[in-house]
Amino acid sequence: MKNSAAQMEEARGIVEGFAAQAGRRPRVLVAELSDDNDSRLQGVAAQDLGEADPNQKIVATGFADLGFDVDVGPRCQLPERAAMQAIDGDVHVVALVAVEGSAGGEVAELRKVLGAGGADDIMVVATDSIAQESGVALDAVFCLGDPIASLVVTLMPEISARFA
Amino acid sequence: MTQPNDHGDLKWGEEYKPEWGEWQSTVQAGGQRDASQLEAAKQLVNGRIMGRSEQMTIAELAVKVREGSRRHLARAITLVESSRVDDRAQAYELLREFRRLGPVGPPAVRVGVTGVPGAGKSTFIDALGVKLIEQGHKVAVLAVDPSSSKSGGSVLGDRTRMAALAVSDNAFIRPSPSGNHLGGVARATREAMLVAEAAGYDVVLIETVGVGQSEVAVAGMVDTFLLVTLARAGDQLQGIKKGILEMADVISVNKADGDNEAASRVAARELKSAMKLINSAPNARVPEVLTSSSYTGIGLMEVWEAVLEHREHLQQSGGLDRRRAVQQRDWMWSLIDGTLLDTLRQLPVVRNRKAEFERLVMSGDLSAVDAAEQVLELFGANVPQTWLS
Ligand SMILES: Nc1nc2c(ncn2[C@@H]2O[C@H](COP(=O)(O)OP(=O)(O)OP(=O)(O)O)[C@@H](O)[C@H]2O)c(=O)[nH]1
Ligand SMILES: [Mg+2]
Repeated sequence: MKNSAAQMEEARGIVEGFAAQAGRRPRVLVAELSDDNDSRLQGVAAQDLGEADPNQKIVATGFADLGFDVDVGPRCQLPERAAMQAIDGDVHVVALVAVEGSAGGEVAELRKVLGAGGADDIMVVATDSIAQESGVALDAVFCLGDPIASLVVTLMPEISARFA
Repeated sequence: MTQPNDHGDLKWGEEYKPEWGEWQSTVQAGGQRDASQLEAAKQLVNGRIMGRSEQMTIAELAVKVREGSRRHLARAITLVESSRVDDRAQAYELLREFRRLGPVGPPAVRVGVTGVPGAGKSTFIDALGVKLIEQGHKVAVLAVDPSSSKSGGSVLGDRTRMAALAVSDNAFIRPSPSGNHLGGVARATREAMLVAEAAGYDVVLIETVGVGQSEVAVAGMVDTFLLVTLARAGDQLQGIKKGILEMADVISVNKADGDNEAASRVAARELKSAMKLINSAPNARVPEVLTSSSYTGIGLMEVWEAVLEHREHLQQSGGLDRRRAVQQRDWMWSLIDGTLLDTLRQLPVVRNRKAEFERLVMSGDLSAVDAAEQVLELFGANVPQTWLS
């Protein structure tokens, strides 16, 4: 494995190249899905709703450090709401860090709503545990705790092919 | 860039003559451009904007946006945000197309929301936005956030604080990406606002952090400027720069709940008297100072009433048209400034010799004045034939 500093440099270089070519930075939505948003919202104090999940924050910062513009979803987002946020922000990628409920159902639902909104070219990536649990085809899989740089290096060629 | 006392206020009054209106109708509404404009609008939108799954012309994109398609609204905003010269040209074509199609309704209510980091702006917009949607409005939220990491990327986190608004079909929340310079971010935000309005959003709320120049830029594009502040005993004036106080049309002392409620009221009263001193001119309108809490919801609608009252007052005194006219004038100049600068920096002859000039100036072999002159001469000898199209 390449050392991580070199890999970050590589990822940053690719991202900068994309930004110059595309007229904007690559953009990602880092989301946490839930199948049961309403009852959760009622259970959570208003004060805590605004806080992103710690994993969400770490992954978001990882992307931003490599030159991405990063949207962060509210906690426990319903798949259709995450899709809407992805479409509104015109992101290139949705990165799922957690799914509450049946992962398969939620991820498939996200894909379905993206497609219905004319946005099936938005890529969906997820952690290995979500991938395993869901069984839905993903554009890439990553491990929480691993450097985001390797994920970015994997993703950028396809983002460039679609949007640069 | 708009200066505080320049955004629709007094001094400009004398210069405000009917000629402005004529200028506006011939140049702005299209005038002689019409024929060539129709042609230009038939261009296909650049593929990198639309993605590979869809092809459409600028005119078709304009229609989709007006029909309310979120996907197309989002992509139109991507187009106006793009820094590529060929995207800029298409962005202007899109804005011309909207103008040609005419307004979708009465002018939107444009409100800037500023305040120090953590003042509760996003939470306030969330709670207020939900109430406005209940009243039948469509609410667009844009955010100008100049913070970015060294890498140039940034976390656009405001939306996590807008969980309630984010689930509404009548809300559109789009934080602007970080830019290299404020001018570019401000331009993109102004144009994104025009796109959202073309999509039928009749309330546009623009959040900006009250530290620096971004609020001046935002004041240059909104009707009413709302300052969200906090009751921190004694320092409510030191905490806020005087320039921001002068720009504020409405002020709310926020987080007026729990233990903070009483202190907030006191702070609001003190701020109110301070504002009278700042706006001591005989006819000056003293900004309303209120208290609000996004947690309890108390005071939110009162703040909104004050925003509408301020706007009404502007409208009655002819000030709204004047403010928007001044903003158009300033927009014209900032487009000219920005375009000149971008063009100069992107010109190959300048780019190729940039390092050389910098080296000569730093080593003292060439004075800064002489170098500037030479660069400008290079620019003059190579100016492009067309600019915004
Ligand atoms: N007590 C109380 N706390 C609030 C209220 N509104 C927001 N907060 C809290 O204040 C903190 C900051 O709120 P934000 O809405 O993110 O503030 P902001 O001004 O948008 O912050 P930046 O975007 O970072 O500049 C959060 O922890 C909120 O939960 C309120 O009405 N009352
Ligand atoms: Mg905020």
